[in-house]
Amino acid sequence: MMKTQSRNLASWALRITSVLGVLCLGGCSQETYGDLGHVTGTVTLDGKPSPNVQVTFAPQDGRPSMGVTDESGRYELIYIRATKGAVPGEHSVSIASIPPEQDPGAKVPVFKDPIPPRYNLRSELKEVVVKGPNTIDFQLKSK
Amino acid sequence: MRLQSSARAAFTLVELLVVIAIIGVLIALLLPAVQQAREAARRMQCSNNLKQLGLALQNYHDTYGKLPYNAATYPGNNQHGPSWFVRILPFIEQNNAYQQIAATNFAGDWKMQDAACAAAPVLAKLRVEGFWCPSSPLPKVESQSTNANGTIEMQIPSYVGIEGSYYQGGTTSTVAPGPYNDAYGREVYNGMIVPLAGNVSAIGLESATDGTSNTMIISEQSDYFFTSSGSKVAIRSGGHAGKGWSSGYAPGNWEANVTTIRYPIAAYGGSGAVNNYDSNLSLISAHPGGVQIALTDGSVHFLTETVNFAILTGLADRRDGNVLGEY
Repeated sequence: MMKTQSRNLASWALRITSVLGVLCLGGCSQETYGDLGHVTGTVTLDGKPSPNVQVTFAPQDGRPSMGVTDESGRYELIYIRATKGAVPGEHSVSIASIPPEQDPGAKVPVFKDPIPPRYNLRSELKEVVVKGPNTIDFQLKSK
Repeated sequence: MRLQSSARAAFTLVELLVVIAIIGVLIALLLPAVQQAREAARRMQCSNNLKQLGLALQNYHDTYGKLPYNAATYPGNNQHGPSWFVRILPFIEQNNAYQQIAATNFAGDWKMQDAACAAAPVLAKLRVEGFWCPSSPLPKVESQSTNANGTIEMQIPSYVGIEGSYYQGGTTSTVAPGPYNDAYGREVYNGMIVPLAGNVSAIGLESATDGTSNTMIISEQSDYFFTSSGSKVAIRSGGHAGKGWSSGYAPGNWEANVTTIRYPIAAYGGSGAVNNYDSNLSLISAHPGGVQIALTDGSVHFLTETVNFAILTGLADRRDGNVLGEY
């Protein structure tokens, strides 16, 4: 009788511990950023893939997402840290080359972006991001 | 009868285990709460640091009628001057250090890469507790092998001045008209801590036409950035040559201890956001979920990292004329 009682007690303690443990794990877990649309695509300039190009998607409300193209011109938008995606909705898009790195203190670098200003400084590109996967390619023209 | 029973004179193994399990659960519950409380206390201390810096800037303005500027073009080759952190030293009870520095007439190369800095012996010893966020995991000091002052350790602050916003305040994609310089990203001088150069002059509180309570002046860069692949990078505006005490190379070249807002909070990579000497390093802090900012009126607020980007640019741009939303 005594033995079963303490065994019951022990199994209860075990159950409570596991429930609390799960609760604690839930409370300590990383926060999520709502429903994001996952956005990838390629950037080409005059038909050729553009490497090292910065693609910025700025929504009307919320946090902009950014991606940098690889050698094949492919980008993937990053929302924050290692979280990929962009908030759903309409975004203003700007596409600009990243200037080559300069040693500090050198003459102020003058860099002529092969991508014309109508895609970045005076961009009127608009794209819509939806929940789930998105593929948005940009075929830019230098003239 | 029961009292004499020897069967109850000891605990069984199961009973002991149960007690240990209960204690374990209690500790597991309590420990995160205690850690949270410690972080809350550190955040309050950081918020107090920002408050003191905000008040120091107000007192500087009361004394000189202008806000402290950052880089300036000095006559001759001596254009690598002190940062705004040096200029506010007398207003945060570091008058003794400031007097010793002022006695050197601010002479020399404050980034200490090319020539000697007369104030270097003072700077090697100077540590201002209020320039560090207590939550920051970044190194508090770093040594630099200087050109003419040997290898010295200098303080790197957790805070950064707001020089301006790349985008027109209140917008997320309209590029601000300037004045600006395309140096290591883009420096735009529409914020509160600007350099002195041909196209910009020292500004006072009256230049904040959006209102001092709608314009930020200082924020944090006090945590590691993460690359998209998840590796840690320690970069901040005060981390290059001369650390917290240098204003950088010159106005229009690389500048230190100020940043132009171009990316959202805690964003890494892209034009002007990769190296210590870049112009567009993002704000970031070790406090979970966002950064603290000091507005020009001296008040301190918390901005969440998912804040509407238009609000961040609107706070950084002192004269955009747009209405800030709720934040």
